[in-house]
Amino acid sequence: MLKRSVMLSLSCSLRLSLLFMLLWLPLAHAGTITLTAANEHITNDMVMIDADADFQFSDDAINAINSGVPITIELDIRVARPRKLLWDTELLSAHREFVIERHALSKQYIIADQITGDRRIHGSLELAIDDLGRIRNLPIAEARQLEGEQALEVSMRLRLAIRSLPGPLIPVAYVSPGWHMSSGWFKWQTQQ
Amino acid sequence: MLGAVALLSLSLLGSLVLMSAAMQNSARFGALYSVLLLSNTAGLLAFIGLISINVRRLARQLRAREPGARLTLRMLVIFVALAVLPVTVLYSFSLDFLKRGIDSWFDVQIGQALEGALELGREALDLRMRELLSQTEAMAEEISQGAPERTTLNLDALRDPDSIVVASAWTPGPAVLDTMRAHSGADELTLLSSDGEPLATSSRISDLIPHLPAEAVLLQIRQGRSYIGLDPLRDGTLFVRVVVNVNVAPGSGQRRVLHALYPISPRLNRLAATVEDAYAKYHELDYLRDKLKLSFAMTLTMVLLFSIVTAVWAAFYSARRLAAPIRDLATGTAAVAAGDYTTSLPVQSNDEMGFLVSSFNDMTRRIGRARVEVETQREYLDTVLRQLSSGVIALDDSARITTLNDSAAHMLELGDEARPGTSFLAACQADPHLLPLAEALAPLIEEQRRQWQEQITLFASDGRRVLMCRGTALAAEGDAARGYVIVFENITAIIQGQRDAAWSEVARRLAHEIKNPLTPIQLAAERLRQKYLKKLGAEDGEALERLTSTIVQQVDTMKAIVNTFSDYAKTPTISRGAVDINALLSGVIELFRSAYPGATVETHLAADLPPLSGDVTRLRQVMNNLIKNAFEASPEPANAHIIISTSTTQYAQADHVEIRIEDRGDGLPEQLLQNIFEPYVSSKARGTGLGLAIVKKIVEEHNGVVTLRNNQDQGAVAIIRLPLDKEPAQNEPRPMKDAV
Repeated sequence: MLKRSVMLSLSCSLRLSLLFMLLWLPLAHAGTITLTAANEHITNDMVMIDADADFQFSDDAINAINSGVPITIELDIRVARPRKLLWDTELLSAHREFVIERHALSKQYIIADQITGDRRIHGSLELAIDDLGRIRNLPIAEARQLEGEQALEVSMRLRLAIRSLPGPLIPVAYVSPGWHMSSGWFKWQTQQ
Repeated sequence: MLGAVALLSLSLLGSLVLMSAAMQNSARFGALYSVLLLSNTAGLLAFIGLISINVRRLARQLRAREPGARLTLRMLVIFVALAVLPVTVLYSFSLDFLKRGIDSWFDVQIGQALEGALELGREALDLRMRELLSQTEAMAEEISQGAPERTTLNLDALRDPDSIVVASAWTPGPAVLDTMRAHSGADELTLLSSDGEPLATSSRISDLIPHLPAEAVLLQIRQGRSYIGLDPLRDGTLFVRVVVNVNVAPGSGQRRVLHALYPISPRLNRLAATVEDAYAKYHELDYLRDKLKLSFAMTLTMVLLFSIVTAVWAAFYSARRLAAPIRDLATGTAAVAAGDYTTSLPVQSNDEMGFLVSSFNDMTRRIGRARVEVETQREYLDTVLRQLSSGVIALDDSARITTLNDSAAHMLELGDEARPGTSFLAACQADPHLLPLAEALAPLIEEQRRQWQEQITLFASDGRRVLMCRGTALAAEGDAARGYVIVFENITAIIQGQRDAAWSEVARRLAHEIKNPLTPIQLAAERLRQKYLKKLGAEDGEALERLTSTIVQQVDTMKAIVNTFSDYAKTPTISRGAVDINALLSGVIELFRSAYPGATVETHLAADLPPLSGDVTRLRQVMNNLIKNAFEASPEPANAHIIISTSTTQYAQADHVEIRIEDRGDGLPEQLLQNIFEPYVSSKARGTGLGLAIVKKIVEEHNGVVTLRNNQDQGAVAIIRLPLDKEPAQNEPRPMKDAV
């Protein structure tokens, strides 16, 4: 009898949780990041990346930025040499972070490269987001590092860094689809 | 298990403390909170798993009605209620206080003050920015007055760290931009093409590359609108960025863009930074208010859950610990009730419960010892009862058998249905031959008489059996007897012995009293005939001769009778030797076959019949008498059909030789069968009536038994059972000595 009651209460809790999730999920507008194009080129013996991305921030993220919460976008790049029988050889991996934040006094939106310290300032969030999606001449390695006859596979990903959010927001962000923004891995072959 | 749970509790507690510390430190919060939340959740799940195991175990114990399970449940409910209710109340109030506390951080007036401060800062800067715009537009106008058609930026000069003015080829002269920058107070002044390419710059800032405007700014400029904005730099310093169009060649449509960065005074910068920081932090906190509440509530909830699950587990542990001695006691009591007196419970404490367990162990030891003593007494009593030749039956107050010895069972010929626990009277009533016993005992038991004695005659399988029954009521409470002990004595042999002794005495006296006058009578008759036969005539002489002959003949007959009586009364002197019964029977049978050649004597003699110890002469007399009786019982002795068989058999727990002599006569009347072996009892018109009495006497002298009964179909059968090698043991019930 006791076992049955425990099972019933567990089942009831599970159903309530599922109902809550079903009701809550559609309310949270999911953000997206889409990498529309990317390629590499060599300039001054440096391999550089150009990429275009379309950022669709969720309402939660936009509210957070407008409330002064800095949002970090991570950019991950991997370059690997494909092999037929064995797994690919990873030649290098690079990680960059860009922070987008609002400066209340100046009513400006700042995009700051956390590595180089470069800051680009925009008068509106839309311009800042557009600028965030336009990546140009991002150096990832010296050209000699990737020399070879075989074409290489470059993978690139953009995603919102939940772990960089303010502490109280992290638990909520982990369970909210509005904060799960990732382009997934965008891959292309290098030109010889 | 306890150690693992204590470790888990400590880990969880430590994790909660860290979580609480992380709540107070935003730097730690971001790094630790999620991990701690996950680890605490995992710890709580582990606890909940442990509790689930305990709940399942308790449910199983409750279903199985194990001792102590209900007590454990009751204590568990009490402990949980005592622990959970206060914690829940505390949690409820704490949560409320927490929410109110966080809400109190965000005052409307503070928010408005910060908004006002920010707006004030903007206003102050706007004024300055408008001046700077006018100033920059004036510089643009000045440049447009003497600007060249085209110039290029010397990048080598730009890279020279010693050069401040990099647009040395600037038409207005290398010092123009410097002069303008110096006059305007700008940190950086850059002339750009309409495409945004820097053409010339003058900078006071040590940065290598000029701070160029964003594309959107250039777009605005291309639309003919000037741009002025407040730009925060990396170190938080504010600059005023002004971008204006420069018409270098009026009418040609060629445009240049003048980009100027003006510094804000350090004091204003500092004040603006303070306002900006405070505003940003306040609004960030305001935005995170609900999340903060949720985080604090989750931490508090974790603490609550930790407290509850720890309390519940502790309640389980304590309830089990407290109920363990009681459960042991219940188990021990059940074991004692089931007859296991060796149960000894572990004494785990020195408190009252320990004293109780010690007392229980002492009690079981005493009961065990008493039980051993009772067992010893019972075995002793059983041995005594088994050895008794008297039958003993103990009955309870409902006349159910509680004790029954072998002698009683054998004496009463009780079947398997009469066993301890069954009704003795019912067993007697179910068996026709015990009906007299039931009829005699029932009223005595119903009347609950303290003591009684009855002589009861039963007709058992081997004949009449006279029992002396003595009943004694067991120790009673009040008037009601708690049962009876009935002792049966088989007095058949005693009565028969007394009767035999009486008959022997009669025979001896008869022989003595009658035999003495017979010789003088015979002699007197012979003398009378000798003296008067010659003196009388033929007719009288013939009469005298006939009369004296009759007297002599009858006297001889009387002498023969008296001799027979004398033989019956004589104390036997048996000369024992090995007797082959088959050979003895064969010899006797041959004699009768000679006498009755037309008769059929069918023999079934056992081939391996062992010899027995006996007096061959007297046994021959027995066989002779019985076979003779069989022939005489047949309607036509000359054509009689006699069946004689021998075999070995078990009788009264001893090996016996059984001799059966059957005839095909009319059998014996039932009333005669009762006393057929007594003197002067005979079915024949002529006979002394001592033949079967002598047979019985000789058989009993050989410790044997003889019975006579009618066959079911035709005739009668005499059965003799003689012991083979030893006399029946003294403790064994003696077979019935009389015959039917």
